[in-house]
Amino acid sequence: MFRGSENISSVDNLTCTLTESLKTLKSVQYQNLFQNLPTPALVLDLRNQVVVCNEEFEQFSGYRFKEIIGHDLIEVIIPHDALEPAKFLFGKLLLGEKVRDKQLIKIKDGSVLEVIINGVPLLQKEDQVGVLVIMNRLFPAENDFSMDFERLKRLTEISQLVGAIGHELRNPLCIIKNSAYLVDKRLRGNESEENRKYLAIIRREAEMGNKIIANLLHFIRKREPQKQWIDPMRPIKEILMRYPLPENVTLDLNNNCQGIQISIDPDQIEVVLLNLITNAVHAMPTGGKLEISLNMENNLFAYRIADSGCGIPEDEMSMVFKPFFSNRRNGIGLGLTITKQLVEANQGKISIQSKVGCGTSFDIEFSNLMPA
Amino acid sequence: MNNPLKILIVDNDNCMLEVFSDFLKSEGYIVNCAGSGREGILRMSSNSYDIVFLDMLMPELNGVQTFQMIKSNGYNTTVVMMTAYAYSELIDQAKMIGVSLIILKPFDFYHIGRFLKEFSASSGLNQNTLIQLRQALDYRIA
Repeated sequence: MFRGSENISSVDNLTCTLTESLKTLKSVQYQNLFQNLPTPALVLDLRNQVVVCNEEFEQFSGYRFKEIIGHDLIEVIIPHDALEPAKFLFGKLLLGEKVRDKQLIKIKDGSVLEVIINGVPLLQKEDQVGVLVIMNRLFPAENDFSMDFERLKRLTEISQLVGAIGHELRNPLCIIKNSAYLVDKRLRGNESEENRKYLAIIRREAEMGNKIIANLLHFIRKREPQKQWIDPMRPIKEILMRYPLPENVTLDLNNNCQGIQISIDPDQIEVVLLNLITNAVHAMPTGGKLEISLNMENNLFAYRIADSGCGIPEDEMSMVFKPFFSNRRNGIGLGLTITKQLVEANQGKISIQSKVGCGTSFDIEFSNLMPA
Repeated sequence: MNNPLKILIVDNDNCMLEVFSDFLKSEGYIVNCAGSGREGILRMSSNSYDIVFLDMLMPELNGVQTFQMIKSNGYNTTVVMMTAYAYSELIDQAKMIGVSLIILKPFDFYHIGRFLKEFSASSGLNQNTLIQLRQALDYRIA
């Protein structure tokens, strides 16, 4: 969602007057996509003043939304000696032309960087009402998240389709996993090792399918947490019941804080923990140790999910929470983005430690706790 | 099981009907199935049920419309609505017209089993029972 409640009305005013191409800006999906774009993006009015920016722009530039709202973007981020080309580029935008060009910008810490500016005029009927600016940082080719307006539009359409398909898939998933549960129940005590293995695979993969759908649905439509006081072990028990671990993965489960309750949205934190546990399992394709621990320190409660897998290279550590970043061939790169968003929506903090060849561990801390 | 619960499942997905009814029968309940809202109401006119599991998204009569017809026909059976759509407008409508429980797919039969044991042990759906049922169903409710 757009942030900065004092500016919501100006955003609404602008979004109400956008052209057909940006009609969907009013929709929750579009707002979420704008905020989740893996690249800096802003909407400007006809005086080049900032109406809204996404989180990626805040992180990239160092400027908070509140600092730049209503300010001329050129004055804020264009270094003095690059003013001429910038005025030419933004001038073309205000004349209703699409632009795509390299531009030097100066971020808050004083660094000057080269970016590609993709700009599209926002029209109402035939009158221009604003400008959408998307910046592509110049990354090495393997990390190229370049995003232009056409891709954004396409992404919006895809997300709507994915949302519909995701919901539809929940019906067959419900049947598959419960059929496996029934077979398991009927064969209990009589099944061969092999049948047990295959049943576990069916249940595990059905849960994976559900996890992927849950991540996609959270990504395209965020909802506010519905918090409850719960035993923090409850989501862990739930997951372990529904997601049988592969036989080559050993579980080391330690609950070091019995008798407390934490205030979280259990559904959302279950998605978080399932993401981390399945990631840990995927990081150990030839087996290893999965450590799940619940700890208390300095009035903070923390989940720790750690694996003894391949680890994450240092140069990728800053990317792991970015949308669409994945080092798995079949991953879509949303799991950890959603994980971080959900933890923070529940007033928690997430941190990661990793060493190549040794493994990765995630800590999730919550401060809202009380004795059971 | 003394006086096993009589349960009606209404869902347009035949596979869901078959698997769900197999599970409920294996738990000792008496189960009937209906493939549409209209068939469900027809079943209710000739049988009394303790609980109805009603799918929300069905062609012709959807779950909300079916629930309204159940109520307008004077049946006070407990209705549990099932849906795959966590954010549907139909959920808001269902809550507004008084559906007691809305459970999200993909739910686990394990939870349904616990829910029905609590339901059997209680005498009617009062507030306390509802709280217990919600706990039995864990948090997979809308």
